[in-house]
Amino acid sequence: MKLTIIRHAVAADPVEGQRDSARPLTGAGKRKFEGVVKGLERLGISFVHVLHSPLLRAVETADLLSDLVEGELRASGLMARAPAKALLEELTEERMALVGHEPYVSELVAWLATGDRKLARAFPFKKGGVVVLEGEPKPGGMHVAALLTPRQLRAIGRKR
Amino acid sequence: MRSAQQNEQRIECGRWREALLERIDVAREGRDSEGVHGLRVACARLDVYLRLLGWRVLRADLRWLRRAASGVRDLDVLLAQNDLPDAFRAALQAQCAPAREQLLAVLAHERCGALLNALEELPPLGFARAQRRSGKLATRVAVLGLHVLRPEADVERFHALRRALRRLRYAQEWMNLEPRAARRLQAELGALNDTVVAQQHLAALGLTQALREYDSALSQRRALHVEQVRGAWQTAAGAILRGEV
Repeated sequence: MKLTIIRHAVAADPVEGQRDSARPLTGAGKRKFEGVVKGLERLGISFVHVLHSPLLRAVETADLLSDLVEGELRASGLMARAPAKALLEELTEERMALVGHEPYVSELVAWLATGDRKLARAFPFKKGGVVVLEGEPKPGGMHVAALLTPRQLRAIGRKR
Repeated sequence: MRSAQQNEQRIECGRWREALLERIDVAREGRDSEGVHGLRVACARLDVYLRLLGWRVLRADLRWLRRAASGVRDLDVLLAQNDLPDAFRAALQAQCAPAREQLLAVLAHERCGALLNALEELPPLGFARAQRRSGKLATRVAVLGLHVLRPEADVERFHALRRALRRLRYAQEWMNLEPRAARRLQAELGALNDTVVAQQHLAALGLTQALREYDSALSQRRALHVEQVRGAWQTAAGAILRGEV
């Protein structure tokens, strides 16, 4: 399968009294991520389904991806915690995207690509960054096909 | 014309999220079949809120939850009919426990918890945006309404009109308007849909002689409802086209 893992776009700083889960994307974060989506589109990347964390910043990021989604966008608490077997069991389609948070997205890439979650630091994600994995969705069963920063994707999206 | 102050008004979805939580509890306990109905309604209202926000995200989750509730609710509605043939009633009653189990599995699923968490953080909706998007929903209703007047219109067209009209009504309610003009049309579309759902269940069972007679009676009822929907549309169309649902 082809699995695209995405860290949420740039969110507002926490405000006193506000739950972390309520932090929205900033205006600039939204605009920049729209550029990322254009880059993904230019690369011919699309998804059958998207699983996203229920935290507002991931929900908003997933919504910005919706033009690339043929099937459903689904909320999943599994994307807001350390990667677990239950998450791998959800990876049933040929092309899927996951939208989540650090350090979990790095841990997930390390787990799938090497079998060892502790190697997460070798796969850093910028906010709005993207890693594409290919292979079997099991620990050590995938390889990194692309690791793209948001800046690179925006540049790809701008190219005529 | 609404004032600038009204256009700056913010609409919050908290009350319907709370309603959804309450109705999930009632549906889970199974003590009141209206809880399942209320769950469906809350899902549909929140779906419209997301549409007014212009979001696609979370709508598939609401649809998934609503579908599980519909499995139970449709059976409740059918079983409330007094004229069901015994074989049909028995077959429907046999489907109740599996449908309820399916609903409970959905309510216990991690996806349901994630949906409820995500709904807790939905941003407020600006009145002006809601009004713009509501206008698009009204246009959709108007187009579908013209479709059902055509003699060749199939049941899917009527179903689409019923859903579009329901969305428009909920959109107006989010904006604190009181939709009235299309009530009879909605009731007629609802009655037609009940007949269609009954026939779908009958078809799934296979028709014995007794059920064939009932199916034939439902077909006659359905034809009558189709004409009543068309009449109700012609009465309500002017108000709907003026955006006064």
